[in-house]
Amino acid sequence: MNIIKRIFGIIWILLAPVCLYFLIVNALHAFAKADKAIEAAATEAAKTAAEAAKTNTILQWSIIIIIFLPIAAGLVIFGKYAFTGEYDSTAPAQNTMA
Amino acid sequence: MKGSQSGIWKVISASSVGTLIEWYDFYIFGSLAPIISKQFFPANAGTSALLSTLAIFAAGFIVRPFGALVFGRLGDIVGRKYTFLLTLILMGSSTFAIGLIPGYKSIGFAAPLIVLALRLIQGLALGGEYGGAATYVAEHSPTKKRGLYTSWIQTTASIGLVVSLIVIMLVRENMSTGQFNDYGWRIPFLVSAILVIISIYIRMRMNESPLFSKLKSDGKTSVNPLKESFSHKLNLKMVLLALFGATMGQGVIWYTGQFYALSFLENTCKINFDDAIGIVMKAIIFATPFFIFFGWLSDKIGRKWIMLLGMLLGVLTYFPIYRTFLNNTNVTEIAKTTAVKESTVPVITTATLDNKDSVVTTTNTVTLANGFAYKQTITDTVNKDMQGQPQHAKTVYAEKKVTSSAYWCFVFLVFVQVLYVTMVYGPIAAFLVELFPTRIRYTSMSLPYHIGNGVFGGLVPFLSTLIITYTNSPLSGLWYPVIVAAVCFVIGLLYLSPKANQNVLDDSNASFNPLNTVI
Repeated sequence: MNIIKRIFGIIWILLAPVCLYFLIVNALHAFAKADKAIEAAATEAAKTAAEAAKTNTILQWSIIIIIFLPIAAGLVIFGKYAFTGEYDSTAPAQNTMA
Repeated sequence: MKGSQSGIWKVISASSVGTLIEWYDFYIFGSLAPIISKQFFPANAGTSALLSTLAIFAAGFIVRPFGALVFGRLGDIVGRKYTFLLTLILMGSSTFAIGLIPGYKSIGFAAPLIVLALRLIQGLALGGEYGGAATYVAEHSPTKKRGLYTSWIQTTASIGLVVSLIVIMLVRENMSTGQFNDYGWRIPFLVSAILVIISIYIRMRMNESPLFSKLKSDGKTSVNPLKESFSHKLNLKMVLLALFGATMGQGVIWYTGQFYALSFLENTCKINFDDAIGIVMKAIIFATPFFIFFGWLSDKIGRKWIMLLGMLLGVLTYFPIYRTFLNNTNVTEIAKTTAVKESTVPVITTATLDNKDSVVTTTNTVTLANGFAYKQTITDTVNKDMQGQPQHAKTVYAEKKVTSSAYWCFVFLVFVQVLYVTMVYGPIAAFLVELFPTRIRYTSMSLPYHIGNGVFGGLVPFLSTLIITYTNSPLSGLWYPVIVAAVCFVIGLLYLSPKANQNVLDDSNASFNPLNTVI
């Protein structure tokens, strides 16, 4: 069981950058889509609305990526702990718990 | 013994009522967001739309975990009682203030700025409240009943949602739509003040947690809970395990079962608003006692397997459940086998476009023989050169009223999803408090809880909608909660200890009875 725990540790380490990559690619895709909407706007009012929508999109994705950075770092640390046997059955538990 | 029993119920009720009110306050903003947007964040007012996004996004994703750190630290240094009293005051006063702010038309740009600030305070307060309430109740509970007693705190999020919807519906029913949009929406915010004052009065009369008091009198409280929580490896690994092996999956199961289900019924299945709300409210009311049941059960068989089973069932059954929603509201398929009972006289409107083409919209309400009804809108574009021949005919079905049997089937299916919520959420407060020692418990348990719920859970609507736009499949949005819950299930399965009822009296002598100190 401890070996499985350690092997999965590698998966958790790799999962973090994969998730981050997925988020960044989607963010860039959303920005490009917003740019196209601005270009396609026929009237001035539609253009203003599309520009506001783009700013909103940038803001939303920025918040998501910024908040996910420390979470991804946490997942890497979690994976590292798992890989080095910190969660093995014989590893020291919380020292204050009975 | 009797005194201890009445004492613990005072502790539970004082903590639960306050937490319930905090959830109520947080939800009414979300439920009334469309009206609030019109009042404070008009779309044509440029930057105000940005502030609206910030109010909705930042309050859940950034400020809640930040509140967990700020108030968690305070709770581990000053004490639980005064900290969760402070969060209640902050939440109540900001909610009440939102009900008083003049609209954008009256004070201009100041209106969205003030609302944003108050909404962020709400998120901050919510981030500090839950950890305090859960810790406070757990530190008063005997070891073998910790799951049962803390599960009362767990009911408050669902009850808070139901209460907020009931208050909004009551206010709505007692005035016209125009009056409600004009000033009636403020009433649910103002009502909060009464509830908060009562709750503050109750909490003021409570004593500090006996475990924390003992720790303080012994001079063993943490000087720097943040450093101790997140820089000591023994504790950090538990914080990470709590997040990735429990709260992450719990958050997505929770949001999918209660919020995504409502959104899917209303926006994807196009069921009329009253029926969609009715279905979800009934399901939540029927399922709420199971928070207590699974909290109690976790004292008997351990927390781990109940929480993991809830996640696994969600992973395995979400797709069939949501497919049933779609099939039972698919007008094209239902109309093939059921005759039309009656159809209202079509209302036809014509609009001429800039290029002289015309858009003809035909709207009528159709009721089928089995009771299924829907509003049908057919949009035809008539090209000026086509001499009246319509092009691009598009039919949209909305405001569907499902048959009685389908209605109760939907109630059952949402109930099943909320049952999963009770499995993952019922035992989690006891699970979290048992992971961490008293001196840093408030800080350590609050952060994984609010990242799991605020970030992973809060992203369910956004990421699910995003996936749907890429795939054009209405069920594809479920991949986000299913994958997150599946990963969390595997992590929990591998790394969580099945041990139950760990001794929370870590810094005290074993014979110490926390209930003796309760007034």
